[in-house]
Amino acid sequence: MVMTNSSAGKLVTGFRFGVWMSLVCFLAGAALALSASSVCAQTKPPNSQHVEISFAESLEINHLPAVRDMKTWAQERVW
Amino acid sequence: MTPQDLRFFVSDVALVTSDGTVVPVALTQDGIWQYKSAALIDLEDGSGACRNGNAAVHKTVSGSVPPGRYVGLRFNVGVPFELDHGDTLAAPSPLNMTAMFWSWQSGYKFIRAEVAVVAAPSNSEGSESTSSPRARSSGFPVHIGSTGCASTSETTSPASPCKRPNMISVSLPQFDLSRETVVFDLDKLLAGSDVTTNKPNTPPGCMSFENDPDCAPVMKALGLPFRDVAVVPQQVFYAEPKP
Repeated sequence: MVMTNSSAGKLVTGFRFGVWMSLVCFLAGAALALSASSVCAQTKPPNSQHVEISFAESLEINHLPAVRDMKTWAQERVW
Repeated sequence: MTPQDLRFFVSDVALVTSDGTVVPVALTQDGIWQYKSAALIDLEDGSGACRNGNAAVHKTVSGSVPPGRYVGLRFNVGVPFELDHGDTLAAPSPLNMTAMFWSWQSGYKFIRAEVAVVAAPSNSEGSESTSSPRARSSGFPVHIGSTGCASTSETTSPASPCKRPNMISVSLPQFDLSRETVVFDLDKLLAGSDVTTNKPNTPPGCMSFENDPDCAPVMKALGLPFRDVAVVPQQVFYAEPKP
């Protein structure tokens, strides 16, 4: 097979195109990697969530059968 | 009857997923109320009858868990054995709270709930038919903690767990963190107790000792074993909607 000037030119052009495309792909990949590692581009969910558990008291005394206040005690008392 | 104090330790707090997986909550180490797996809940503010307390209160346990959906809550009321018997004067906060400490041997008071009671004079103070009506102001302190702890003295820590740890397990299978709160119900704690009298020759109120009959109804309400009293699930802590 005899390579003409025309086909050799096409080969060189194709080679250059391949080099350029490789470079473009490399730069695009690098940019993507950099953006993914940046703090602002963090899209992964956090590995923990903050929780709060609240406590309260109930001081209302509804039934203490043995407790008698002074008024009740005085009413029940035989004078 | 007037509340005078209400503080308690919680520990080993965990959330429960819908499939029953128990996920420990890593408590925020705030240097004041929470240390390692224990947190002090302080519901008194030192005002009024709570003159033995202090102004600071702590009503919220904070921490972190893996992201997820949680439907239940579990925790213990008490201090884990490995933290329970150290030197309170050298311990980090909140374990340096001397009001919550018994001794190296017995450890911390897991619960300190106290009420003042104005009661009629007892028979030992005179016959009711002849004496004048004199109010007898007394109190019914409830201090829950470990008993039966073996060591050479009160100032020596036990090497092995106490015979009666008295650690209270609370399980709330349905608990909405954002909408509900854990309630400590004083009425449920004292419902079976005659707070106007104290059994002769026993400590005031209930100090957790097995030989104190005043402790029987209190321990039962907390779901703790006590002599021959049947153990039932604790009644004192439950979930309620936030106000």
